[in-house]
Amino acid sequence: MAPLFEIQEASFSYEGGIPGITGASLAVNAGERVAILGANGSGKSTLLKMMAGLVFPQQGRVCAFGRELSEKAFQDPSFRALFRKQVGMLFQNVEVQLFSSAVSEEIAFGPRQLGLKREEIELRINDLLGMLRIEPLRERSPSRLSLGEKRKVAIASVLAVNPDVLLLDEPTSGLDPRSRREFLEFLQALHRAGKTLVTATHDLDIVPDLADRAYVLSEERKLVASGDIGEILGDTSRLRAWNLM
Amino acid sequence: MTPLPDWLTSESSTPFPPSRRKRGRWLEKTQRAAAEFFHADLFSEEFARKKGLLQKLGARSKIVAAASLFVLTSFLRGPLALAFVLAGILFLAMLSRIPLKDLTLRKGPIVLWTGLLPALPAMFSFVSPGESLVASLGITRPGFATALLLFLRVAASAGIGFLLILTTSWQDLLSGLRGLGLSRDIVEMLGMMGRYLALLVAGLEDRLWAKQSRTILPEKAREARGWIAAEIGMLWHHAAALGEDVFLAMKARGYSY
Repeated sequence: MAPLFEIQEASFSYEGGIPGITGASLAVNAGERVAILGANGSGKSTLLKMMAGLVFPQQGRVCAFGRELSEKAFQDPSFRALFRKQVGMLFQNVEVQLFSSAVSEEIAFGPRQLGLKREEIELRINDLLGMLRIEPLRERSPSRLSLGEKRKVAIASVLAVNPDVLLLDEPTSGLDPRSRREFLEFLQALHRAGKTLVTATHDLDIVPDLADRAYVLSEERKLVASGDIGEILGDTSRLRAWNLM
Repeated sequence: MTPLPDWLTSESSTPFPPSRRKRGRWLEKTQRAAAEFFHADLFSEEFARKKGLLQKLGARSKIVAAASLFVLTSFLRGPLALAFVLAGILFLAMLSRIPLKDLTLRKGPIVLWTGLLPALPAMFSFVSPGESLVASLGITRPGFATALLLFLRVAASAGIGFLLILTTSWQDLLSGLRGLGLSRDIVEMLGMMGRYLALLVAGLEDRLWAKQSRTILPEKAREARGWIAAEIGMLWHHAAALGEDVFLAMKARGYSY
């Protein structure tokens, strides 16, 4: 079976020649849990943005669902809708992800675009608020919440359209210990339900809970290793060399 | 943990209404151009490091020349003279190894927004009465001339500004202003302003990406306008919070006012 995501020798630089990622190749299959590990500034977020079809490689290619991701591909309304419905991304800076005036509105943003009935949208809002234990925040403005609350609202807003793939950029940063534990359990439950999880992080403590396989990015923004999570985390000398411990 | 609801565990088969509507990308492009201006032009120094004509000149002389040209441009009244200034800007850009495509296509949207929009009302008879040019639209000949003049002035001024910024590193620009006698406090304030403006713009760019990642169907123009309005409010809120934090950090380091 063809991988869900396939990246071949992809390189990307931001405007002004600021390097993002160099010559990365990786594959993610449906239903997998994969971690992208790397120190700060190693290009993890850029790689996720590529997989989310937000930036496109200047060299190499990124394919998802059997189609190359490019500006042209996203000009096709059906592909764009299909892709955005199936792939959800949680940004490292959740602040940027919340733009509605109330938490309930934030969660309803996606389902409304799907053309769901009002009752179904309400059901999803209630379910997500309940699951993440944030019911009291329902009518609060997302901009006024704590970082942990914002992260929960952000994941709720992503999940509201029931995507098959979740791209998670440092998903537990800023969470207190209890919220972090609950959040990890929640992501594990989503994986058991069949979701594909791709997690970019430098926090090795959460990796065994969130991934079976890992790719490692060096500080030179190159993919330098891949393998089973046990194999990667067991090699402490290499983890030190990659500035991961 | 509360079990996952059925809709979240079922196959992702939610139908969505088909749409053939093309995306309105003008808004996105303009925002990206503005973000690129800060990232790529003002702070990356990509062009400032090239060995071109303007890069060889000192920051002080460039600032003085740019200021003189700004004044000259604001006094020019003929479209031809302004067009000549614009041509001169493009020629200087060429000699300074700035790709014309970069100056026209990438900076174009910013100039269009800042120049064309304020100039548009001047074309119509309710602002500039006179001989009719396009009667059905209410555009008058003096109105068109005024709007054209206004637009060319903005374009020329923006071009001069771009040339100065693109060919001078931000640090040199600030040193140049200091060398011209501007007080240390003001130069420091300008430096901080640039730094934090870049931070806010980077945030805006991230927000644009985040929004894009959650937008399943192309937005209607009304929705896009609503988002922009909300963003302006959010940016204002963030700028105020950031300003407060910066001020407290300065106070913590002994700043007194």
